[in-house]
Amino acid sequence: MERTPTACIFNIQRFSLDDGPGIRTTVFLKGCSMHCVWCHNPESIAPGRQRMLCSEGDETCHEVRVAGEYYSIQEIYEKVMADVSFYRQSMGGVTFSGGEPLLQREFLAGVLAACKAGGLHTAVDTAGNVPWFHFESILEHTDLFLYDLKIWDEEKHARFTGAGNRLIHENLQRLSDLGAAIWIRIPVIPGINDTEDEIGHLVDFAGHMRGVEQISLLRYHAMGNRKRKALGLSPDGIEETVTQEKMLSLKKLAADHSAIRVIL
Amino acid sequence: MEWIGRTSNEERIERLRDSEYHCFRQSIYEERKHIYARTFREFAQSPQVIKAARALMAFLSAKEIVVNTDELLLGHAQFCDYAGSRPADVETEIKEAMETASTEEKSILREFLTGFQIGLYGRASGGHVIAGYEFVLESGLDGLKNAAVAVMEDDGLSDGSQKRIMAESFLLVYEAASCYIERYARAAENAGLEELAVVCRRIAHDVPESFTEAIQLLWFVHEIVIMEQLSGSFSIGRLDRILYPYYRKDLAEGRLTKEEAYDLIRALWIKFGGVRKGYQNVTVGGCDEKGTSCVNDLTYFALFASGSIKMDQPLLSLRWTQDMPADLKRHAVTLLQMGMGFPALFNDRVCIEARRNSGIDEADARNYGIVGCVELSTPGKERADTEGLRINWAKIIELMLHRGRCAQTGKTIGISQNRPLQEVADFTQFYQWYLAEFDHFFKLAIDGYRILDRNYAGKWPSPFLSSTVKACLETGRDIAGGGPVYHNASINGTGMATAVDSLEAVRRLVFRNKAVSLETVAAAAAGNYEGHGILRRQLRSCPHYGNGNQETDSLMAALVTRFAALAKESTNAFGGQFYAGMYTVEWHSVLGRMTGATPDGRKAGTALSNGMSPSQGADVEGPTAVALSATCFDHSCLGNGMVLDLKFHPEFLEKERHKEAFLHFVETYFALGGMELQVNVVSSKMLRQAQASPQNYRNLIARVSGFSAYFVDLDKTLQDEIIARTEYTGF
Repeated sequence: MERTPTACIFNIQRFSLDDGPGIRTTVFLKGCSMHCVWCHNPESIAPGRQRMLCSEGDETCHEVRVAGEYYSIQEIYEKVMADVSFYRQSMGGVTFSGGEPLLQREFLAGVLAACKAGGLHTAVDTAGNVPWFHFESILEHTDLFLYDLKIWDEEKHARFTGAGNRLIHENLQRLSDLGAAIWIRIPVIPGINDTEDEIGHLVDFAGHMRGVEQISLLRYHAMGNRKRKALGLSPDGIEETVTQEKMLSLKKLAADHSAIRVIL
Repeated sequence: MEWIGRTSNEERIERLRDSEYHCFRQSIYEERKHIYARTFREFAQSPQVIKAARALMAFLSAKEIVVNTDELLLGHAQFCDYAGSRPADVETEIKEAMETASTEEKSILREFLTGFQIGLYGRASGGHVIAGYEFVLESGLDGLKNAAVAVMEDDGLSDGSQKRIMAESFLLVYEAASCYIERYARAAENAGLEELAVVCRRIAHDVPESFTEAIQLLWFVHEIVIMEQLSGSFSIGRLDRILYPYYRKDLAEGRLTKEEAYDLIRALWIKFGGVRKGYQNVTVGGCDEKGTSCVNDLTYFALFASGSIKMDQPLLSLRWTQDMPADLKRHAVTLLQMGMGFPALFNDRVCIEARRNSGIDEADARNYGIVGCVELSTPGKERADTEGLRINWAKIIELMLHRGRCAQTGKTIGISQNRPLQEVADFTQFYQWYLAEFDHFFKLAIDGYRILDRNYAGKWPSPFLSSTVKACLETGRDIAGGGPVYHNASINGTGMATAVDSLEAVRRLVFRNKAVSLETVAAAAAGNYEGHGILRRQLRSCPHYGNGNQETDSLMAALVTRFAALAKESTNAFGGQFYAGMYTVEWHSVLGRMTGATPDGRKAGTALSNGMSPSQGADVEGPTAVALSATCFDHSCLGNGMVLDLKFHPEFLEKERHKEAFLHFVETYFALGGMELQVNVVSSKMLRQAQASPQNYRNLIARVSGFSAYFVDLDKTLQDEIIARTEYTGF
């Protein structure tokens, strides 16, 4: 009997509007090859199921919630297809995010192939920190890559994300060379990369590549800290916020440094 | 068309808006009551309808004329709530019906009354129609008088014939209207409003010719319709259609600018806004008799006016068609973003199909307007008593669990199968039992209603309202006495999702998992789940309607379809059929207070689910799942309309791509067969602040269920219910 791959998934978000074009369902795969200090989904980092203390709810709730559930390709396919009429109307589709979805390569390739066969637009949200052959197995079934860039300086990148950025940059270049459609996403983290220097370098690097259609600057929010608490982890230690003015000025900078659309 | 913001008249409009509330006087109800009592005594020997016509005449000749110098339109309804409406309440109505009822009918009425006292039934009589504004505008008051005189002079009719008496009553009220409008003409002249004086003097008799004249006559007719009944939900119908010929002509002949027309629409909006809790619905958009979009400038003005005036009235309904202009769709989203719940969106295709299913002929089906919240009606041709009956689906489960005893009041009502709970062997038996009680209480409601319906028109005739309906003059019957072309009735559901979630919880926990006995659930519910926190949590964690779960949704589909089929085969006292409606106005809160704890884990006295929406907070899969669940049955079986309410956080609609996605969401829901959609764009945080400091949030408007209202005016149960609804932020 053939082995059916399963994946550990910590969230399936329907009516997702910011992870690619149109109305989408975003499937979040658990496990990551980086551990960015600001991560807003800290339960996405460790692979496998994980206990979280439920901090919300009514007076009777002192429960533990389990983050992560194993699904087969068929199960995910059926869940995703529930909203197919919304995707068709809005030119939307499905996005696989994480964690790092490419770590569960076999599952990802299979589920993308199934969604493609079902006529869906497919997107993969990746941080790019995986060996290139992981990309090779999904290229055929992926219409759009949401590619995250974080910090330009390699040493700083390693300090704040647990990984260097050379492989990430190489993989982006290879995707571009192969003609993939790419949306660049840069989280703007106060005190870490919210400078003209950082954003400018990242945009100079990616903003002129073939296939790169737009750049999003994502403003840092502290919502990950509540989840960190539920996981028994300490807060990210980021005290500041990024003002809307700052975001707008970085947006302008990014637009000046590239010839493509920049959105917040 | 670009969104129109301020005009050169802005300050005047603002003054008008601010002064509108000061026109209202509570004492008008006392004066009216005395005048009516006196006139009814004076004309004691006359037929009831003549008494009613004389009384209205006397009242209008005494009604205070209020003119302030900023007016762009004249008249003030001075209406607030239903103080003084007739009959005062359903208990009074049932007691009066007892007087002439047979023994058998009396026993039905007694049981029917108990149903109201325990929160099983609801009813609001009167109001709830679209008067024949177009008929009055096309005929002119003198034209109408001539038509009434022609009937009176018809030699074929005997002196005391119903038709002749009716025509006489119409003549009296037309005269009363002319005199009332002339009083305004004189007052306007004294106030230096020369142009309005001329307008009033003309329309007191003649057919209106200009846009101003048409809009002014429409308002006076509306005002008098309200003053005659003091009921709610007198709705306007397709305002952009009615006024367009006058607008186009004036614009073409250079007598009117677009800006002036827009300001007149806004002045009309302020008049509507001065009617508190009036549920006056204005319908715009939609298709013409050929089925193509008939959106015009006035459609846009209506949207802009709601955005500019920001009062809780009129309730603005937009008929949504595939072929309507794209910019109008975007303006609709812009208006929704302001958070007032306007406009409510109606899927033309499904609404028209529902009208056909109600037996309305094709041209009328395409010409529907919205009454009150979401009810479909033919302007000037139809009365369907849209709030005539309503049944609380959740209450039925409570009665089954407690042998017909109401957990809140201790009163008992007869249930058809008084079964010991331990004898219910499986879910099929439980469900079949629920269906038996569902049918039983449906039939009791219809039987009781028919007795009230027979009495209503005779006791509480409405000669003025009837006189705007062409068919009433032709048939010689009151609008509630079989006069209009379509004389039907309506029955609405309440607590649909609460009932379905309760059935589902019983299926899962009691029969499938055998985690608990039915008696234990009943006992825990009777004690409002005190000391049963874990059981309550288990009940609440069962699947809920609204998450696209097919097994749960199919319960909903079966019950709604059954309800609609029962309605279709029932008849009112005049042989008309019943329409089914799935919206709840405030009744999910009112009847929720009267409903004990339910097996879905809902606590006693809290709100039931709202319209066709999921139970508050139960829709964890987001709006697409809600839309899929809500369309699990064919909406065109709902002749009396339905509500699906979604709540979005204000930031959600700020981003352009989110607006775009929202429009796609609407189009998809409509393509799936959704009939109506309404949207609350207000944060729970702000609502909580408003609850704590109402003085700072006087103007905060929230969508309730099919209508919008000032949030601080709502009672706390209803406020809590709105806060508890799931708020989508976009992800």
